[in-house]
Amino acid sequence: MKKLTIFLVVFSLIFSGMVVAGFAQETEKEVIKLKVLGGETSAPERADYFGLFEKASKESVEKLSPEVRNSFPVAKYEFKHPGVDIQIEGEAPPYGDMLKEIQLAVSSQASYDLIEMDDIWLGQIAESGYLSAKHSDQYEKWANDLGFYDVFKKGSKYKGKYYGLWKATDTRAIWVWKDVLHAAGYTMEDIRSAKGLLNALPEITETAKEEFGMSGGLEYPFNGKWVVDQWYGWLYQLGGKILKQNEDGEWVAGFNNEAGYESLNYVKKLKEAGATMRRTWQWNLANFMDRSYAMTYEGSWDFLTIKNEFPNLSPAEIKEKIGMIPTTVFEGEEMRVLTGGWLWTIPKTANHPDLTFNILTEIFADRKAYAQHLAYEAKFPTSEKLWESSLYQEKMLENMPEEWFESFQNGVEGGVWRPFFPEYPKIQKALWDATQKVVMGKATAKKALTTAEKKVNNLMED
Amino acid sequence: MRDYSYAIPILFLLPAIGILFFLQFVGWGWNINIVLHDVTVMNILREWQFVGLENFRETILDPQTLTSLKNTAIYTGACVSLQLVIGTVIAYFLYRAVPRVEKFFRPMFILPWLTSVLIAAFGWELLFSTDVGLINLMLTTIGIPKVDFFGGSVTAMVSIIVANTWWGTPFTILFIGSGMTSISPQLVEVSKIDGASEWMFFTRVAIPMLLPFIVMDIVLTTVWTFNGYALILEMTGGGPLNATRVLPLHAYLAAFESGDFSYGAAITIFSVVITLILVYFYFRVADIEMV
Repeated sequence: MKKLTIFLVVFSLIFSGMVVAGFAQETEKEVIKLKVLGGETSAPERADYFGLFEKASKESVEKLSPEVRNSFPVAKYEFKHPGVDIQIEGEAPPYGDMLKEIQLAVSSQASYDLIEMDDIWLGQIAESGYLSAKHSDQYEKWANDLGFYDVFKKGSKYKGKYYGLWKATDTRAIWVWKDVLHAAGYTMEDIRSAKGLLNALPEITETAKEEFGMSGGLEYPFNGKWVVDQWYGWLYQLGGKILKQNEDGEWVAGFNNEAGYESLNYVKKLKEAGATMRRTWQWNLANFMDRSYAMTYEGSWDFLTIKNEFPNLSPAEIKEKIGMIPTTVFEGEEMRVLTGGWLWTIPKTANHPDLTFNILTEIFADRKAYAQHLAYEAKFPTSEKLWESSLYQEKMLENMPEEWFESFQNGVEGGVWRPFFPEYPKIQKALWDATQKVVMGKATAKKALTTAEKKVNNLMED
Repeated sequence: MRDYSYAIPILFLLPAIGILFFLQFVGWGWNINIVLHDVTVMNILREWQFVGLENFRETILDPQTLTSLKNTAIYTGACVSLQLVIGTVIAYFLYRAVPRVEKFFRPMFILPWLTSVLIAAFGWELLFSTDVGLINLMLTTIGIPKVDFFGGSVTAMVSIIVANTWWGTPFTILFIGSGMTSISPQLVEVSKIDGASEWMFFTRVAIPMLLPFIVMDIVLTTVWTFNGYALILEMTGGGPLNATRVLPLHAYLAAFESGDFSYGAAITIFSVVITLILVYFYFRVADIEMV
């Protein structure tokens, strides 16, 4: 009895010690706060782009399924390093405010650990010296190992050095409520061509308003200089370009021609046919999802919003309700649509640059995890190998209709890319001015694009 | 023993003067330093090239500066005039109203000023919205087609003027109203006995007595309206086609959209000079000695 009592006492002491030690270990986790700046459109209403923003700090990563855990770099890193508790302090301003936020970060030397930025800004920000090219060789190796398309490698570089990796891409897309379309007497096939949409739009608009009590037929973003993106698709279909190289190898404007005039007049004709030129909102699908419009010109990134709206519907059921075309196509031309994307880059001022880089390694060095990460976010890969990966395709097709997946893939492969020059934001402004003048009837396409050409050529000369 | 008591007030004032000096002169000095160099987002972390007055030359020659100046003049002129007229009339109405009415209406008239300018802008943006706006709803109800307020140059300018007038008028009501309290009620009675109508009293007695308040109100609302751009940025972003791009917004967009910090700073100095000229002009016209 005495032995039993001694045994119980000793056992209790050891057990209590273990519990206390375990608790102490639990509370002694090293908390590291990472400051992340990312775009709202790249990280809408879901667990976060960089890795379970909130969940990682509230839930134990051990409780996550291995697949989910491995899809998110922070969770994956924490699982490997149990003594570390990474807390993401994220900022995700609306797209239209993103460049300003980054410029403020540059001028104030803000100490973000990671910035997720639109590819078009890399030149300007890398030129400032704010970004680190310390891991240029490693980024290049990953890009090669992962089979990055050449354009995404170029978009991750500035003056020969990699400043990060263009981790995902997207395309523009027109989303359609099929019930309204059918009630107006049209099918998806009818609106795939540039002319088809133009012809159908007045009737779709009338049906949307009269029969469905909607605000309009087609909502067309017209509120910021980035909306020239939609026009680019049509410009390239017709043989125009944003910039082209002249005989001396200099970059000059490539839009002041018949292709430019016809494509820009097409935007004006859309307005005349009843499209609502939205001036007071930034990229999102809200007005479409609340059925204010029968169609919205937005992007592939909206798929997740749609999926979240109909979580229990199969891809086929979603496709029955909603239609999608990346953009309309001019007669006899091939589909070209603007493709953009986001790259991850580490500033020189980061408080935890090595840790951030190690976290990036968790997915860039692990193709399977990277494929799952993109599929989880419904993003498109910048790498040929990932597009072809059966794991990625299976995961995507679990949620996305196959036809849409193929259309998006075609869109990315025949994509229109914006120039990677630091001058691009100013070029974009010049073209935005031209678009406004034409759509508002203040100038002909020829006059507006001639003015824009002068501005762009001056910029490129400087 | 010498009397140093005169130094005590100076000692008390020194911290405030120091802070003011730091905020004003160091800030402005830094701004001028930026203007004299070529500072963009691309070279801000490197050595800045000295360019002298080049940024001012660029500012003056930029057609968008002229457009912005013209827009600023229209916007400021309209807002200040409307705020002054509406504000003075309402202040006079409150002054002459019976206490119960005055107590009821005064908080109501002041309410807009308690709203953050951005919330006010957002509210007006919704009111003017083509799809869901109350104003368009009212127009369609009486058979007038919908107006795309932010889509036309004139309608966009009108929209921001209306919004700013709504938001800014309460200040004039308060300010002129406080001036009216200095008008003795006996004076009103005496005027009535002398046969003066309400209109005659307002124009020939009240207004001349309120002149110093009116001038100060004009100066303050001009400076605030001239330099305020948050409302415009939220409502129209300066569009369409730069139709509502005012000078401070022009500076903001140059600095934080195009990343040309020097150019943005040059526009700021340009607009401050114009404001100073305006203020000087107001005081001269009113023949009030500047302090």
